[in-house]
Amino acid sequence: MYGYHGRAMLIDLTSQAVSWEPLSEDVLRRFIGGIGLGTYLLYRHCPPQIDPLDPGNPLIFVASPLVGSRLTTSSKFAVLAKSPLTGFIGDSLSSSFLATELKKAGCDALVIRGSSPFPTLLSITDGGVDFLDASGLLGLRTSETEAEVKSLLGRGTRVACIGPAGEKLVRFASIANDGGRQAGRTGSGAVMGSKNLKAIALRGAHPVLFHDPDALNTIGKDLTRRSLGPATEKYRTLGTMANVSVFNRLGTLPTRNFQQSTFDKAEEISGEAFVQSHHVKNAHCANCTIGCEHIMVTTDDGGKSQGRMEYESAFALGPLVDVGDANAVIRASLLCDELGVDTISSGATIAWAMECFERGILSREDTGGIDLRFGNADAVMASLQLIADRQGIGDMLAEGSRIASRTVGHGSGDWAMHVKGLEMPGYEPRSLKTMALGLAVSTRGACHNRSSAYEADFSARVDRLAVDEERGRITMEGEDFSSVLDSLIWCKFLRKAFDDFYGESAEVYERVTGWSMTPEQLRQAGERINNLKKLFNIREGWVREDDTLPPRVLHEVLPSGVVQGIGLTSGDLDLMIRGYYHARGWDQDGRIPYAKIRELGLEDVVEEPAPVG
Amino acid sequence: MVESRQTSTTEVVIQVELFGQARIVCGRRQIEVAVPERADTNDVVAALAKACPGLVGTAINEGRSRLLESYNFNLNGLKFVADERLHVGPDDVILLFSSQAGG
Repeated sequence: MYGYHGRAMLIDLTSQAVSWEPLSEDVLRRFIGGIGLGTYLLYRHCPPQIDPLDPGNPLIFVASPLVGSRLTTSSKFAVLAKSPLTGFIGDSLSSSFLATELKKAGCDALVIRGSSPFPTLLSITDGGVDFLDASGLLGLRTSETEAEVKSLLGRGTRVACIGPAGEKLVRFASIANDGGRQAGRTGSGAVMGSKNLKAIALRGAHPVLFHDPDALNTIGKDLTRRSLGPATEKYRTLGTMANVSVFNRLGTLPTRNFQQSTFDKAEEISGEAFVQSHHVKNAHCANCTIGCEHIMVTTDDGGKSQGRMEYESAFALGPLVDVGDANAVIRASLLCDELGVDTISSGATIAWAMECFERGILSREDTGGIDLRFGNADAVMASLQLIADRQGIGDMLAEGSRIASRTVGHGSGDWAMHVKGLEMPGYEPRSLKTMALGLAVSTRGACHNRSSAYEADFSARVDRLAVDEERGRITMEGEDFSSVLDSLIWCKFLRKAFDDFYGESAEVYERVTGWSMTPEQLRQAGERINNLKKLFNIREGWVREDDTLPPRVLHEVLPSGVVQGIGLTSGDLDLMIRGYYHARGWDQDGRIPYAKIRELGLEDVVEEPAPVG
Repeated sequence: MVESRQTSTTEVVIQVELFGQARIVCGRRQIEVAVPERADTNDVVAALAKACPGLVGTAINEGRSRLLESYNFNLNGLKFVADERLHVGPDDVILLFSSQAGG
């Protein structure tokens, strides 16, 4: 078999048993790899209705057919589990050498089940699987954990690990790899912590074979050339931080817990300011020629912090909590990475708590003396540490904004800014109407990446401030495109470098595997994967009311900037959701007819429901 | 508030706000350019290339005839504009920023 090993490794931490599950050509062609294959494995291995922190919830790492090919940006992997934040599908992507080592370990996926009776370092090599005692790693931050594992098992070892937050089952804990890269969203780090699994060490030597390496070499050179052209200019120059000043000017920069969409200190934390005052160097993942990572350093007297800065982290730990001090934003972002928590959910949950504090619903007594007002950068840092330690108010905030707002009550759910339990990213839905739909219907919760629906809003293709049913088709196409991207796996930042994404990707797939693949088959694979994600959620209890946006978005208009007075009504959103369900071929309640399941070739995965009555 | 001012019956002076690498290469946040009152995007591109040659190769093609695919024009922060007449007038501002919105 080319491009794949044709098997998944199943590891049971409770019994320390290791077994293999064959993955047939049929399965691999239908679900590709990455997020797609992971969704298939999650559907099969996750017991219905299970508590996400139950040992039975599988933690799944998936490589892809392109890993090992040396094609630019292809060293990526997916992490899946039932999400502790949403109770629905949890899926994340991360990058770099860990993906290569995962594949060199001789499998296309790892499915980890059970819970170890002792803190465990799982070591996977060609020689087999070792369940090592990780007691000595407990409490270590992510960079410390990675360094310690490498010192134990060798520098060539690649490590995925959790920080203190994962150990404490913080529901938005992340999994770190390769020097601070994060599988950040949906709380896979908490699932790893629930398994008493501190780290996974990978080192393999299995050869990865490709059907037509000469053709791949030619294709790879051309893709590399394009990856250095205009299609990736922003990522190579200022990086995603370039969004800050633009989003602010367009009134789409969520600020003070989405109370407004402009930030008066935006220029101080803009990409332009960061590049000129804090930039150290650019960095890149393994096998990537774009190099989107911009390493930033603090410049004040508060102690040196240095690491990657991305827009989503800057938004969540800057405008969202009303902090305009660039050094404070860098420091908070890096603390999140070290503690092992998602920056977006962290910032959004703290922003929710800040609003509770300013409204008098949380007191200084509740916060342990922290003056949890908007703009207090020290309070952000203190809260992050309390969350990771589950100390004081941090224990409640570690549950995420949805559960915390239910605990606090007093109507605070009205300003808990999440969808399905996943906190909102830095795209204001009231002034980006296609994105509003993408956020509402995403199977992942409030996610900007699984549809990239904002792309239409940031173009002349639509009026970003108006709504219509056509947004449904646009969002569906974006989701299917993203699922193919996330399954092959290409980096999202390469997507504009393709002239004909499906055509070129189908050719690459054929050269990698030797199996025929048409552009239409690839597109349908994206549709199949999104339908299976939705079927997973339906099985776990999804109802039509879950496809919505926070009350604030639907009841308050934006107060400032060029979008002053703009809002989004429930009627507006319902109109777009109807268009989306219609485009997908689902019924008006968002459920999937069995005819669609058959059309997509999912009947062997999803049983036909028994007739009612 | 940045204001445009009319210079003649055929031209207006407008402000172009720069973002990202365009701002870096020009070394300023905005540029004043004169364009026909019923300008199209090509007119704005040509005026920008003249006002800030550093934009050529960054945001503008070598022929100085159009924006590179990696850049967008936006009118007044509200309307994304493709190849079309802009009907710019007093108080209009054009924004120039990356077309790559991902983050």
